[in-house]
Amino acid sequence: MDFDLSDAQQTRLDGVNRLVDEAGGMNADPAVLDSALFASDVASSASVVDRFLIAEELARLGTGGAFGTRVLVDDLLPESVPTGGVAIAEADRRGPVRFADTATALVVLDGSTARLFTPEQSDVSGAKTISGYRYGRVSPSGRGVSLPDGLGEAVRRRWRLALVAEIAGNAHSAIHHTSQHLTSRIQFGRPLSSFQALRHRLAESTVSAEATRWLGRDAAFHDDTHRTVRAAWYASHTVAQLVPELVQMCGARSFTMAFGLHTFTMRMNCLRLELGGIDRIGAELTGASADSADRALAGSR
Amino acid sequence: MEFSWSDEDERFRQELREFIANELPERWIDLIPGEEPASEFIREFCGKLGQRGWLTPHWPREYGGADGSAWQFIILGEELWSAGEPRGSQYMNVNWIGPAIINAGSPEQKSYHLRRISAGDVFWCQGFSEVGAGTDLASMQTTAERDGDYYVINGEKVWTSYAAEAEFCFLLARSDPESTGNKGISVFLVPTDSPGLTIEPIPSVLDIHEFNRLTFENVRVPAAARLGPENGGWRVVREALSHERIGGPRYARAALVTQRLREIARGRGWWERDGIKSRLAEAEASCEAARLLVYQAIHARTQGRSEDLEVSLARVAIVRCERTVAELALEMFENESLDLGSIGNAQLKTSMIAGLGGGSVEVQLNSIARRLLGAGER
Repeated sequence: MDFDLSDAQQTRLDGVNRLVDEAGGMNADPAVLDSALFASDVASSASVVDRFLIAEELARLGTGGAFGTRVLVDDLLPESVPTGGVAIAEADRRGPVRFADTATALVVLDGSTARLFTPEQSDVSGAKTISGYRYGRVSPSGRGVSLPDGLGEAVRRRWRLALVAEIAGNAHSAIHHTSQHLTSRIQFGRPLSSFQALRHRLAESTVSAEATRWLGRDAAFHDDTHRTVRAAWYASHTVAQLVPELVQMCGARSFTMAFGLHTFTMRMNCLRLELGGIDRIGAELTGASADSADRALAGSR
Repeated sequence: MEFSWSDEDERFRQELREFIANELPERWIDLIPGEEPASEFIREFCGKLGQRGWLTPHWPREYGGADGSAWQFIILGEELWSAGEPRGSQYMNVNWIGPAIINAGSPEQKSYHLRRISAGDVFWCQGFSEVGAGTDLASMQTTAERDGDYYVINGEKVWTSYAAEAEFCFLLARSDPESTGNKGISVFLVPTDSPGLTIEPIPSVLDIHEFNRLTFENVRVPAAARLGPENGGWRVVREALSHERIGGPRYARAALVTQRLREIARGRGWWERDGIKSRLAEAEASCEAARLLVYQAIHARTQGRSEDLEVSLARVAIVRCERTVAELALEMFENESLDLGSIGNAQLKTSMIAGLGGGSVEVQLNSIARRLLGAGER
């Protein structure tokens, strides 16, 4: 067990930070930053957990590009898929698809199968949504290209890992942003950070954010479906708790673009909805757990 | 970053499981940790653990340990807590009383107490809380007045677990009467058969746990029973308690209870009841969240870094998971949980203790907030 970044992981993340800085920081044009990331070696020979860390870091830095998702599924896609963002959607879910309007490929998951569509095989239109990412509405035509058996589950796992990573990164920065507000904002003649009601709520939020991060990293390290579903459930649940809490603590200014909290909170909302509701994920997790139960001894009376 | 066990730690866990399976009577599996705090069976079981070097594997070899890693400390805790904690109250000896003596004890104290603790043949209790000093421990009033080579102790400690069976009390008392707050406090290792010390049970609603009142009336203890410097006890106990906060890996047992609840939900046809699957998922995820946050704290310990923040995060997550599992059990069993000894009843009581045993969880929230927001003075 080792919860520290290795030197190689730290070097990768330093590279990510440098590229983000050069592209303009959190205000970087996502397309420009993605181009720089794709042209770099930050993900060269990276393990799954390395790639999770990259996606997490990009989100923590407040960027909104497609590299984080692509980097986690890249090794599962045919080599013929051009460099660039990839959009992923479940066949049985409606609604806008993240990055669909700019992606070089669309993957549609249907149970354990996955089909790949080029932009030309899809009817794509931009979608206006809540702030966060670029979205498109897609209507794939034809059957696309079926990926080999079993890849559907693998792509779904990695997609979820990307979403958990991005939630973890956004949660970290949202809490930091809120901490700064609480220590600098004076109300009733004292900093908001002196009110225990707020201090405890921020502490509780931090516990959830930290747990999300470690559940995700652990799942990525093992590249394991069950751990990933568990991390996905926790991440989705965390966002549901965290976003209203942080918004409440920051007050009405958290709705304004100028304050900046929305960068992280609205993205967390987007990512959570893309992961799916906790009942949907929960049913999947519990069903899988029941099938794999091998040691239930305690508390049987 | 690495989330897998070393071969050595895997082997340790496996051998421990086999030992538990061979040595532990079946009734233990259903016991709540602490429900049987001291008995001849526990003394015998701990003795066998001690003979293998497994009671205190993470202690230095010179004090009866095996120079094992902090990971072995948590593996030991997970496996034994999940099995009803057959160390009884001796888990405290292993987790923090022994380490406190290692850190602050005199050669004589180390020689006498550590040998007995690592051999598994002694029971302890802790004398911390008072009627007017619970979470605000620094407000304690129990006094230890120096009288030549002795201290004379007067005062009252309450809500003390395991005292009826304990041979020693790890006692906090104010040795400087002029002091306030956390200054002027000393630690004493007090034999519970000392003249003037009376122990009586305090009736409570928790039939799985016993609370006691310890009354000290002119109890004379030799100065050699003081642990650490005079008036320097706060630091001794602060370090010790950081071990205690995650010492009982409640999440490990809660995870097994969740698994059992899942089987019961299927067996009784509750699988499709509204919300059950989602709540089972919540229970599972919250237990694993606590596990990973505890592991993060253990990692900090292995690196010799401050683990204060990590321990606080972990403790909050542990409390959450126990409460989540308890709520799930109550939701599933409804009024069946009123039956004493039922799984719902046991979980209800366990979860009531979770946020208080080892110190109030609000203190941990304060500690996390201090790291995020500073001291927060008005």
